[in-house]
Amino acid sequence: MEHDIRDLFQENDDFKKDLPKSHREDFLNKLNKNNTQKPKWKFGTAYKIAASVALILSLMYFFSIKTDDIDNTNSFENQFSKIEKDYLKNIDKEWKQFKKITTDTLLIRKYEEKLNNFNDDYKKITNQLKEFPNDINLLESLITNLQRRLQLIKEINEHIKELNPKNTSNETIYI
Amino acid sequence: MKPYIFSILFLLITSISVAQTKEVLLKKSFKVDENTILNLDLDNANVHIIESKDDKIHFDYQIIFYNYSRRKINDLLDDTSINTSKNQNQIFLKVKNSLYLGIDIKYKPNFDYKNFNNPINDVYKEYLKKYYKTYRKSENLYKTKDSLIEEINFSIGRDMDNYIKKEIDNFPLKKPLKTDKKIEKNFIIEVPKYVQLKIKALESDIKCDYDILTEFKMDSFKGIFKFKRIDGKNNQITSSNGILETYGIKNSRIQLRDMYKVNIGSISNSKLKLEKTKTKIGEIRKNVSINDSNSKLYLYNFGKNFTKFNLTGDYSEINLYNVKDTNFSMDISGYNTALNMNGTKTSFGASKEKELTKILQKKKKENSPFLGNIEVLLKNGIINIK
Repeated sequence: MEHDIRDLFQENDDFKKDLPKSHREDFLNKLNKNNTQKPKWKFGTAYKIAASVALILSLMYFFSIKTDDIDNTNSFENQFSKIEKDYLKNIDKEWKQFKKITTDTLLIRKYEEKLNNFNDDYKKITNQLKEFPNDINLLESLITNLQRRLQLIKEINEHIKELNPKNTSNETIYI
Repeated sequence: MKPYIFSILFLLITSISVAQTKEVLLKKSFKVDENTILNLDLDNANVHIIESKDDKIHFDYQIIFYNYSRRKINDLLDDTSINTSKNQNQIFLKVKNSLYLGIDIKYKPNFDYKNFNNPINDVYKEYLKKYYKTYRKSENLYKTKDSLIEEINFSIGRDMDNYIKKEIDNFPLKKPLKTDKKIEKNFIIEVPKYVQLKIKALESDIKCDYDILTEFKMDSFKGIFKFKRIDGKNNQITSSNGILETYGIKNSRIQLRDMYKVNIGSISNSKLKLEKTKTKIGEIRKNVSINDSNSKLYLYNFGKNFTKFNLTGDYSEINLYNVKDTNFSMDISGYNTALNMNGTKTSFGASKEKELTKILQKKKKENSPFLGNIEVLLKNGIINIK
């Protein structure tokens, strides 16, 4: 039976309950609870003494390590901050372009929200990294976060550009 | 003086890293029957569900630590909590791992983050280059239902990880770096096929090795999910920010948002609501509809007697294959929508009034079996006819 396909948009109320807006927040709250849990020290005073010894040993180690080790650490930090800087620069560039080529305020708002979510994740992972420096999974997560942000904006920019090809038509194509 | 000597000894003993330490965290079984529901509440867990051969659910959770000190292992395990319980005919498993317990290491290549100049990193960089050049190029190519299922079968989640898994034997420096601290979690849950599954998962990976024939519910945030068939009645899947792969799905309401990858071998009698989710479907069968916002959809094939397929989309990119050779009818309407066909790009209905334009119509052929009708309505969309 034929019907007006314009009605299709109205017909899609089958998902009476939308994916809750708080879906992400609910999960992240749970995640935060885990983050705020303080580490439990089992050994009380003995641990404190051990910690002080560890500090002394670390200082001894620090003063005895070779210069190239320091260079390596710096090299790592420099490399990483360079990667981060490059990504953020490109993300910003793409974002400015996106705002320039679209007039759809709803779309801009949606993407702002998505980028904010990525940014919140990034801050969380950075905090975790302070606690566990050089954790491979955390470092990968940081880079993946930046990659995904850039990809997100690049893809929508490409999409919008493709909506304006040279040929325009209002005649139906029959195949 | 004495306490300090003991402290130093304690520090030295607990700081010595052993190459590999296995910890058994849970080993428990529950007797079940055909009315049992298994509720999984997972937080940063990596779970493998397999079929149980007896009428019991078996939980078996082990973690292998590589190059971790005993003290560090204890710290990490202190943050892990595991609870199992039974209430009436429902079994509950609640697992929360430390955030710092990494996920499966099986196919991770070596990368020296401490020293970027380590030659081992060049190998990884070469792999990255090759991946972007070759693997991603194949993204737009046509796939049969079976080839997509084969891809899902091989997959461990992210495309890059799949590429490394495929090429790992050619990886010249695949031995772990001595300083690499890695954690491998093996959580196996054996479940009789008749038990109903309800899953709540946060940053967790789940792999299920059998066809699910009972009502299935899953609510997830992040994580990688791989299932064989999901064929029960009234299934519900609500997921965001993760990866979902299944050989096939039936009778489902699926809501997916910001998913990085969704691969579905075949789908029937289901409604999908998508947002910014790259979705590949091997074969669309009876009674399927998609309401999408801003996703890339690859609809490779339509099954025999799929009857009707409705798709509405806003900022969606739709890829349809073998359109001319397959006997279905099709109506595509929209505004501000681009059509790519036969190497030509044409824009339709970019009027200020936002009026709908009939973009393309395909009528059924009389001389071969008719499969069904496709109705597409796109706003600000791109449609690629291949």
